[in-house]
Amino acid sequence: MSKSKECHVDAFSSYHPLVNFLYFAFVLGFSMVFMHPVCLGISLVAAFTYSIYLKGKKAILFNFGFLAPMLIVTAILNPAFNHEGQTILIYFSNGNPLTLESILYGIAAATMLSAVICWFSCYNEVMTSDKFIYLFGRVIPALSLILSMVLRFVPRFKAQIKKISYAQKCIGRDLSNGSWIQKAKNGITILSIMITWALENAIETAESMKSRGYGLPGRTAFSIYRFDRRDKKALLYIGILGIFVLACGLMKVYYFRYYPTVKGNPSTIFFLFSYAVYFALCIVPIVIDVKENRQWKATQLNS
Amino acid sequence: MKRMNYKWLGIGIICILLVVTFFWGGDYAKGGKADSEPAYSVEETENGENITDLEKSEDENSSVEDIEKTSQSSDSKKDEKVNNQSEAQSETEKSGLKKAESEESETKQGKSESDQGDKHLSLQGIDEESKGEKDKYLTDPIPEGKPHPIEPQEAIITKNAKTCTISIVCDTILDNMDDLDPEKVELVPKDGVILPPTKVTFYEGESVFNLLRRETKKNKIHMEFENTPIYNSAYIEGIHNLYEFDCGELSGWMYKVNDWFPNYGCSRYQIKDKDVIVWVYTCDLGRDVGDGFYEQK
Repeated sequence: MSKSKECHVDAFSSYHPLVNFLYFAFVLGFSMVFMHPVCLGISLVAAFTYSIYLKGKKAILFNFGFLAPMLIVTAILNPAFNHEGQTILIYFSNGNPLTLESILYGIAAATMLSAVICWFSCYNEVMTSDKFIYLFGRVIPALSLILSMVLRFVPRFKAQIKKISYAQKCIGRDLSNGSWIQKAKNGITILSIMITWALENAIETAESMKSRGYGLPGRTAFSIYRFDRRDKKALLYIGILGIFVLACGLMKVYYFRYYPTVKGNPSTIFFLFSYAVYFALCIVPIVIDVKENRQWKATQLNS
Repeated sequence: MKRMNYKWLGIGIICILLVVTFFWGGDYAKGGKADSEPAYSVEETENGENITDLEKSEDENSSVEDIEKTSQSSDSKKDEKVNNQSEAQSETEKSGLKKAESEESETKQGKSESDQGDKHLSLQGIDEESKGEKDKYLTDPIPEGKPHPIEPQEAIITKNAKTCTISIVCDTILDNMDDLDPEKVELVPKDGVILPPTKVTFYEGESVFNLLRRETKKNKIHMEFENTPIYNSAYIEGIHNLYEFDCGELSGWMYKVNDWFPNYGCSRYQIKDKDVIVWVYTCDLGRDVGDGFYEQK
């Protein structure tokens, strides 16, 4: 039992790519646009939870080792350079005021930044390049290929550079030995090998794709994705929630201003409801995963 | 062996760089001195023409302090060449500014500038060449009879308290409410007056910026500024949370002293007794508040 808990499979990833993409499009877009503190909080909490659910220990390390310090630094940076706002707390030594509003805005902007980064780390895990190509390969073949290559660019180069530096280490030309001049020379050699490989690889990929007739009319592609009933249900659910949130956003329900004074909409029942809807949209994959997990456990217990 | 070679190469390059900069810098200073000589005569002919009553009275007030200062400075630095140079230079600068002062204050400035002699030697060459055009802080020629900028780092703030009037108004926004950022509408007072004309004390040598900073702090009015080294002055970005560009793309804060809009920054304008300082918000690059700077061009 305990083993299956540790290495569970993300059920949301097994849904149809269209469902996955729609979900991330909504969530990423809303996270970037809504500056309301409640929305930001919901988005950050959901992103953190989902990323930990997806990647486990690695995500905890990344979230608290990198995102949390970055959040704090960004939050501090804003009041150091921005002095707008009605509520003056103290004066800096150079004469500019430190205002409450700039501190609050700094925290909000930092929250947004880390939430979006966290969402993208989830996106990369769920929306693999084959899913992306499957969705957009027909509509925009060239662009989708480029996009999927670009999105894979950094992890792929990282892997390749590791390979090269291991190979160089075997013949004693790694960054770990020699004087600093020698180290720099070795580093440049590794980089030059890397660039050569990248250029060659790009041409090879392009020719290979071309020889297999990528993008030609009438060419079919094998895919294992099926749009069945649960996908339809999930798509409907995400679509309705997303459109509701979008409408709320257009009607300025999530309006919040930081300068010159902090001001938002009054918290009536309707506004509380709209936050609840936003929350419901953000936790869709977590709900699906938890539900699937419980079902899996239940069947195991019964058997 | 290879490593040694690199080391020696590096040391050699650094040495060559040092030698080159030493000689180049030395030449530069000499050139500045040579330029300063003809300016001497100009100073003599124009001396005493532009004295105003105000300046005279200021000098009388501060004369006691000045005499003390001059005796100190002349004792300590008489023999040094640097002192001679900087004195000559201070005089040339004054002649460039066409500002005449009594003997006491002249020596006083000489002292203050000997403290930063080197800085000036390098800048002086530029100063002399660009006479009639822009000065080293990109300021156009100052109109006849108007006070010349005094750099904040050279200003000496004494303990002589004087009074002047300061006010902050933004009534131009009332005529351009449509352009105003909707979030800022509530900030604009009904009559457009943020700080009504108030008599305040200042200390001789203070700039308009010093005064604004103190008065906004005292009256709990928000104010944000930014130092712009290229103009050697502070730039006022916003007062009372009304910022530049908040009311159209040509809007921002300007200041006028005795109904003249100085063509240089507020840190360089030294206040005189009974000056009337007004900070105004313009929505049209100064044209709507009576500044004709862009009309002349």
